[in-house]
Parts: sequence; structure tokens; C-alpha cells
Amino acid sequence: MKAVAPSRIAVRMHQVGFGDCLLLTLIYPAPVEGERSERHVLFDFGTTSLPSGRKNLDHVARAISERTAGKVDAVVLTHRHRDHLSGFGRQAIADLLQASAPPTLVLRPWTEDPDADESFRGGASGTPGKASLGFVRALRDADTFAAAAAETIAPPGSQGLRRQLHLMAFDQVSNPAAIAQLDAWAAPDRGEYLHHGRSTRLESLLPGVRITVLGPPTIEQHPQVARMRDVDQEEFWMLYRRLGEGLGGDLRAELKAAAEEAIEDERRALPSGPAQWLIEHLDRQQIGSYLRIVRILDDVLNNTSLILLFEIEGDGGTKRLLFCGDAQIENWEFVLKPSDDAPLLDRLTEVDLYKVGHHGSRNATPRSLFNLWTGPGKGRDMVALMSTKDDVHGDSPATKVPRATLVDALQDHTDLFDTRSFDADQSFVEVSTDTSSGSAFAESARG
Amino acid sequence: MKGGIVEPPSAQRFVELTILGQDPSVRDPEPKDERHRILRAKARIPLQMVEPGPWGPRFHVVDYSMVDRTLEPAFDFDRAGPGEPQDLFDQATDEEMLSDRRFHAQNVFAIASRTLAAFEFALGRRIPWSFDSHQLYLVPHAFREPNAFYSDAEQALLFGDVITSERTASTCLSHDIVAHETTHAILDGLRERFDVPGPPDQAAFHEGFADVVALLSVFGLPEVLDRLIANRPGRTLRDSDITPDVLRELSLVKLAEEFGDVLHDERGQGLRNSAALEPGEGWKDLTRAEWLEPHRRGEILVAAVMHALIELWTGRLETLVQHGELSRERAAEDGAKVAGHLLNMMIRAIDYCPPVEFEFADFLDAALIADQELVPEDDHRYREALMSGFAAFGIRPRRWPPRMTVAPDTYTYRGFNYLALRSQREEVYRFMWQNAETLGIPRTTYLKVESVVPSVRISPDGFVVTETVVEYVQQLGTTMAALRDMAPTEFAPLATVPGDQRVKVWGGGALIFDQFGRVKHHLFKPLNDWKRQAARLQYLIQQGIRDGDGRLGYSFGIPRGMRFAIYHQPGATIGESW
Repeated sequence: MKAVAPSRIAVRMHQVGFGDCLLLTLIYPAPVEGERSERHVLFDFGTTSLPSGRKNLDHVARAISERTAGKVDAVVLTHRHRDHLSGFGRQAIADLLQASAPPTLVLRPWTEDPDADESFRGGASGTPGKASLGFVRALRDADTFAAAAAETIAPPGSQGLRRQLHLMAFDQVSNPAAIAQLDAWAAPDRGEYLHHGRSTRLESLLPGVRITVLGPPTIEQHPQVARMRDVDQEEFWMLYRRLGEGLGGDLRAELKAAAEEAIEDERRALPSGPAQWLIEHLDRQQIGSYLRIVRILDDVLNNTSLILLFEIEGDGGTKRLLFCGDAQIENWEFVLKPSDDAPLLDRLTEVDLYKVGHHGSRNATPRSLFNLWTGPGKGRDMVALMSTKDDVHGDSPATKVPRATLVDALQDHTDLFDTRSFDADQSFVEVSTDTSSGSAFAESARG
Repeated sequence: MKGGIVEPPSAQRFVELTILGQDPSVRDPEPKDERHRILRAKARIPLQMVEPGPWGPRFHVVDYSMVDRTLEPAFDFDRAGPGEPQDLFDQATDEEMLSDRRFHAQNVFAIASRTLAAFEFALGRRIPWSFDSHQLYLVPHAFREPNAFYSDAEQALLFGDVITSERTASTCLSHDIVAHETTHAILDGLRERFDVPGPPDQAAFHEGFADVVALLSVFGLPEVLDRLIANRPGRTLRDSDITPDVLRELSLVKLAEEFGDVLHDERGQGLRNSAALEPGEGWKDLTRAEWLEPHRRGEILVAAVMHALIELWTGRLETLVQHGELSRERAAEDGAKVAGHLLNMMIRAIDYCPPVEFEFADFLDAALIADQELVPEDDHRYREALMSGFAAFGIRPRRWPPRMTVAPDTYTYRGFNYLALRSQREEVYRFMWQNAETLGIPRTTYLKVESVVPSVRISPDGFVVTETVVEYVQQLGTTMAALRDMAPTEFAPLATVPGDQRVKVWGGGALIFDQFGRVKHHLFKPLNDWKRQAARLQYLIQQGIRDGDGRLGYSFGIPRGMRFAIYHQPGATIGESW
């Protein structure tokens, strides 16, 4: 008997401004296990800058609910940046997504495991252990610092560098309502916290689909950690662990006091002369310093992104879809090491659909990954989906998101779908393909 | 003592101050006791009046923390009464040095002063900062991150700390980091245009050269070198210990490994990578994104100089071996001497470098030509070793041996004031205008004489070379369409760039006058070398280097005061980012 497999694959990229929300739909030739003939996987739902003219994303949830008949089989939260998570914290959206039934499975990276303190013991190859637990705790401290940065050091309404700091820090601050919703869907045993190489129950939900978890690696798995000296292992990943404590006492209260109290009084206490001139000019550098710290923390959080490779066999060959959240090179380099896993690299060479990492930023589509798809003899038709928005992140051409040089390269080598080129009232674009033919993904709908 | 100002005795010109040899993690192999285990050294700096800070004529330490907005009391060197500044930390224990902020202030002050002194000695003149002040602030504990950088906007070197529950790691206590950042500030004063977007080598040069100075600065301390090569008990080395491979392993690789802590990790591990670089020319392939990253490319410069250093050092030591052995102390002294001479060569080369459109081969040319002026006979093979080091990475001189393409009496000197030519930009400009054809510079392009400075250099045998060094730049702001009209063939590869794209192209050079006011050397990059200009624009487009208005070749689009902060990035993204 022929194995059950999808006959058609469709991916919708929704317009959410600066954020991600993608719906993967697998259409089977007949109902699966006597139930529906479609399966739906929702990748992220969040934004930090809404599309022009929109006050919320309820319309996106309505569209998803309509498409899925109120049942999303699996929700994948690639990582907990606000622009991937915020939608889940809005009750109206959550209600729409589960209009018929809640998701069967919720997938998140291992760093989001709420039972980390109890369960991270290591042991089996690559499973999180003591070092990974340390990292999770460092992320909690980073969250404290981000909150202080977003609320006190650079409150809403800030301009210039402070505005950049606010936006970046705000994006990192955990969204309790959204986390609570995902936890509710995941309880009691419908949640998975994945790391590189781990299997996932999503495969049993999606017959005929092979799913490889490429990232993120646990700390125990990561080669950079493995080759560092013992003392540096702890220090490297806990670099900012004590940042909040290092700033002294109740962080938020202290920073609030520093911001509100008479800074002028402090300056009048300084000796007049060159030293005073310097100190008065260092304020900008202070914000620059916080911004660099927050950028590093931002990169760290990006690198907790799930990287998932979906492979669907059909008469037309294997279709491969790559979803990577905002993963950056440190997450990718674990996978892209030369010659360690040649078959995996061969499979990555033959990707048909790529969800562009981190909204097209300069660090999230490693050149060594991109080079697998380009170059002499490589002419596979590929679709790239990029959900992004101008003028949200990046204060110079070098740091602007999306990065112009990457966009140019994607336009040259892929069929790029970019939410910036959506029509004013366009809510989504859908690309799809049949698994029976060798044809590439192509636009099949827009709404 | 009058208010902390000390009148130095007239006979003394230097003072020695205790500094860290490398950083707190590096131990003395033969400490005097358990409380003095951190490797120390002595920095010899020009004697100077020092106000509390320390605050001297060129550096002002302000121990202010941006994080908690606290200002430490200024450190007054002279607590012992009238007389020369006292080194209060000569006998300090490890704990005292690490916990006493006054030592941190002394450490940065002394290393920065030593670094500047090396430049001023080599070039034979005082070096101004790029900004409009005589003093550079040093802020030893400015912020809480594993970074340190030079900010021209704040006229300061800012040093960061990493504080964990286990320890505090401070960049102000890393000898190489302090020397590196001081070099950025000095180089910015010498060649301000090096941060204009240019060929890939130009962006890399600041980082690479700062690493070279830092490395040679550390190497120039016999105490440090002695420790690095102490690979067996006793005070002697065997001849098998002084082969190039062994010396490289003992010294450079070991040094580089010690730079592998969290502070250096976050700064891109330049010195560590340089030690591991294999000779080759793969870095020249501009399709390999890895080698377009400035700090990665700068490692080539460091590797080439280190190659030369090892070759020279080994050569000297071979002559000292007796009965298969030589004194380790003597080996270290010789190594420090070689490092010192090589540092002088590297610094003197800056005067002969064109101020823009700069490539590593230009630096090599400059180093060789400048050195030949001072040491006509290369008896100790410094130039030979330098060429060998650079050749290992495919960098060959383009103007060596120097040939007089223009006879000295071809220039017109009539009507020019000799003294004015040695000091006044307007007089030099008039000279260049009058002699434009001879110099190969079109009059119709905007040209500015940026500086006219004296240089007095003293050779090892006491020979004095007096020169006037002129730096000038040419610039043209135009459009791609206009460039294509001027040079259709050369700009054909850029045919798809919109015609209204604003671009700026540069040229410039170093013009060297001898002690009689005659042109001796002219090392320049013509603005109208269109093939070079097309390659440069292609590189800028490929790298997405534009200013805030989308123009090419004007600036890197990085906010002032932040450009050197951004240079220091973790190494993982090298070659992978867009």
C-alpha cells in the first residue's frame, strides 16, 4: 500500500509588518486517519511594527481561521522575540486560531522549556545539561536587563539612539500573555522543546513529511563551546548573566531613580574643567554601550531559533522547505560545518522554499548556506519568502534591515516574495506546488 | 611639592612605571613569591609634569563609569613629596594591583604614553590628535561590556569591563588592548582619511596596523618575551629551541592563545588568527567574502610582519649560540630589540604612505623606501626579512628599488621660499600647482594639501635624516554617468549602476622633500586611475557600503564616535554576513 503523503504543498506568508506569520498547509489526496485531508502548521505570529493602516492583526487570524477551519494542527514558535510571538498574547487572535479546536502540538526551542530547572540533566547525546541550564538562566537575566532598557533607560517615545535601544530591547522582553497562551496549548503533554537532531512528533501528525531539526544546538552540542576552556565555557555563555545584579540591587528601581532624579545635581558636583566636559559628552556613548549589549543579547536570542527542514517525497521528486526563524550564523555553523554530514549538506543544496531569516538582516542568511544554492551548475528554481518592513531596524546602511546586498542576491537567484511589495490592502501571498510534478513553487493566491 | 606639580630634575628625561606585561591571567614563570605572580614589566615614558589624574600634556585619565555615573578620585602620582614621579606600584602585590583603581589608571596612562612615545621617536616630531585638543582622555572603566575603542567625538579611549560572579575582566588591564586602541587614535591623527571608503586593504589597515603595534609593543618588553620562551627549566635555550617554527610556536602562538579569553573573543581574535595563518594568496580572492571583512583582512598584515619578526630574531640568535646553547635572557633581549627596530620601521612607513586609496603593497613600498633613507645598507637584513614576510602572502613591492622617474632638477623651485615650503600648506600647494605636469597631477581636479610636517629621524649609526612630509588628497564628487563618459571602457563592468548614482572618487599622495627642500619621493595614487576607481566602486557596491544618503565613496555611514566601536565585532560572522 502506498504510503500516505501530501499531494500538494502551500505556504502563505501574511503581511504583519515587521514580524513573521506563515501558514504551511499540506493537502492530502484523501482524509488522513479518517479526519481532514489537510494539515496546517503555523510558524510564528507576531509584529513589532504593524502594517500601515492597521491597528492589530485580528484580520490575519481571521484569514488563518478561515483557511484552517479553525484548527491549526501545530504551532511552531521559532523563538520568543516579540515580532514572532506577540499575536499569541491577544485573546481575540488566540480564539480565532482555536475556533474549532486547539493545536495538537506546540513546538518551541529547548531554551523555552519551562521545566528546565528540573529536567536539564544531560546524559543522552546532546540533551540539555548543566551548561544549557546556565544558558537558560542567563537568558532570564537578559530579559530583566531588556525590560530595564526598554522601560527606564530608553522609555517609549525616545528619539535617536535611545529609540533604537527601546525598539531592540522591547522586542526582547518576554510577553507573558503570549507565553501563557502557548503554555496552555502545550499542556499537559502537547509541547515539545527541540534541539538539533531531536525527533519530533510533528512527523506523525504530518504523514509523508520528514522533519529534521537542524537547530538550535544545545550548549553541550555546540562546537564553539566544546572547544573552549572550561572556565571560558561558563563565562562565554553567562557573559551577561549578572548584568542586572552588576548594576546593583533592584535594577528597575535604581535605573528609575537615576533617570528621574536631578542628574544636573550630579553634574554640578563634578569638578569643573575638562573632566566635566568629557562626562557630559559620554551620555551618548552610554546609550551606545547599552545598545551594543542589547544587540548582543538580541543575537543570542535570535540564535535560539528553531531551524526546521521539511521534506516531502512525491512522484516529482523531493520538495524541501526551510524555516529558520531568525537564526544567525552561530546557530547555522553547527549545521554547515564542511564534510561532517555530507548527505545533510546535499539535502540543503536542494531547497525549494526558504523563509528568509531575520527579515532579511545581514547576519541571518549565512553566505555559506546561500552558496549552496548558487554557483555553477546550480539552477534549481527556488522561492524565498521575506516578511519585513523598512525603517524599523538599523540606523545606517550597514545595519539596515533588510540588508540591500542580500535582497539583491535573493532577487538574482530566487523568486523572492517580499511583503514590502504587497499591495496596500493585501493580507497574504500563497505559493504552492504539486508533489507529483517537478515544478517549483509558484504564486497561487493572494488575499 | 606644589599642588601636585613636580619639577623634574633637569638631567632626567624618562621615568619608569610598573605596568602589566600582558594581562592579569599571565603569570611570571619565576615570581619572587606567591603574592607577586602576575607578570609585570616597566614602561619607560618621557618625564613630564603630571597633575592628578594622571593628567599629562597628552593624556588625561578620567576614571568615570557611565554605568553608575561615578567618578573616582584623580590619582596623584607624587605622594612621596617633591621630586620625580614615584612608581607607587613597584612592589605592589597582585591583589593590590588588581583592586586598586589607581594602578589601573597608571597602567593605561603608562602604556598609552609608551605607545605615543614610540611613534614620536620614530617620526621625529610631536603627533597631533585628529580632533582639536592636545589631550586624549583615557577612561579605564567606562562601561560594562567586553569592548574598548577610540572615539574621536569624545576625544577619548573608552575601556570596558566584564563583571561576572567569579571575576572582573577589564580591558584597561590588557596591555595589547591599550596599545591597540592608542594606535587607532595616533593613526587617526596621522592619516585622518584612512576611514574614507577605499579598497579592501584600506579598511583593514587600521585594525591590522593597530594589532601590529600592539604585538610589537608586547614583544618589545624583554620580561614578557623571556617568559614566553621559557619552555624548560633553567636559564638557557638550546639551538633546537631557536628554529623559526619553534620560536613561532613558543612565542607567537602561545601569545595568541593567551589572547583567547572572553575579552579578546568578543573583539574578533585578530592576533590569535594571525598566528595561525598559513602563507598563501587566497585572501586576494575578492569573491571570498571572508577576506573582505576588515579585521580578517588586517590579519594578513599582522601575519606578514610576524613572519619577518621571527626570521630576523632567528637570524640574530643563530649567531649567539655557543656549544649548542644560548642564554634565555639574551635571547629575550634580542627579540625585544628586533621588535623595537621593526616597530620603528612600521611607524616610519606611515609618513611615506598615500593618505587614500591605500593597499598593503603601498605600505610595503613605504616601509622599504623610508628605511633605505635612514639605513642605506641593509646590513641586518630588515628590509630583506620584511619583503620575505610580505611575499609569503603574495604582497610584493611596486616601487622597489626606488627609481627616479623624474630628475630632481626637473622641478621648478624658482620663486619659492625654502622655509615656507617646509611648513606652509599654501606654499606647498603653489609648488604643486607650478609643477603639476612633473608631478603627474592634473590642475583641474580639486586638490588639498592636508599637512606639511617636519620629520627628523636618527639611524642606528647616528646618521640624521631631515625631511618634510607633505600629505595631499584629490577628490571628485560626481555621478556614475559622468564617470562612464570619462572612461567608458574602465567603467563598463558597472554598466548596471544607475547613471544618477552619486559617487566620490579619491586620489592622493605623500610628497617627501629633503633637507634642502628638493623633492625626494612622490608616492601617490592618481585620482584618474580609472581602472582602480572602477574596482573600488565595484567593491563598495558589493559590500553595500554607502553613506546615509545612499552615496558611494563618501563615508561608511557610521555615526561619528562609533566607527571604532563597530570595528570590534565577534569573529563568528566573518565572511558570512552581507
